[in-house]
Amino acid sequence: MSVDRNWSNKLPVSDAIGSRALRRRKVVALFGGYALMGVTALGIMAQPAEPVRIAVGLIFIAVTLASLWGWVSLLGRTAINAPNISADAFDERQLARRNEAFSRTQPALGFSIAACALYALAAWVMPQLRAPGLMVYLLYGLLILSATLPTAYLAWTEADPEPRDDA
Amino acid sequence: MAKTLQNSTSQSESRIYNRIAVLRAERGLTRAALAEALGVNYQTVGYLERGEYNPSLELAFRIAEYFGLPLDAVFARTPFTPMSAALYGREER
Repeated sequence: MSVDRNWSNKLPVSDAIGSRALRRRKVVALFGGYALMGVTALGIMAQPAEPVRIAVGLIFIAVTLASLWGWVSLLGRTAINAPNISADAFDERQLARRNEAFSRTQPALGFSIAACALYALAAWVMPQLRAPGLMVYLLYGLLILSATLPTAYLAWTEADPEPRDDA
Repeated sequence: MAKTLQNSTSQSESRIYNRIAVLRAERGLTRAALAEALGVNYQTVGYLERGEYNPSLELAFRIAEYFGLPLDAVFARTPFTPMSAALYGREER
């Protein structure tokens, strides 16, 4: 028997396309983690008692890691139900879906960038508004939005990948 | 409300029916094999068969040429008559 006849059709784990439920969990981890990062950072800055601060600090680390996990895993092949993220390998339906995801999410991203730019401008004019921590938080938010918003859209609108029928 | 109605109307009007599933089954092809022959992702064949995706004209011609049939034998703007009705004049139960 030749090697190719025994070769599994199954994609390697690193190439596996997540189910819609898994992709949604990643989106929730990413944006939920991001929101909780802000809340816990505020909790730390309120300077509570030492044990509370340690607990809140640990929660902050945990939600940051959850958010990073969601971000990193959403950057990859889960984006469009394709085992390859190169647009050259997409067929016309996949390209259409990707374009739809980008065009549908572009207004939200544009609004977020405009809001952050307005805040940056206001902080530049009025020094009392300057908060380096908030700026870092907003910058991180813009980064995750720009990198994952189309993927998040697809996680809610693209069906589960069908199993291949060529076993 | 009016906009929603207009959207749903235009969506139903833009539906293209096809016989890809029947033709594929006749030839004993898997979706993956047909997808490979057409140069598309195997999931796209499923979307086409379920009518969830309307192919481009170029892909529609490629599909018709692959099955060796005229375009209107594979795609139509109205639902196809079931094979049993077409062959024996019986309506689907």
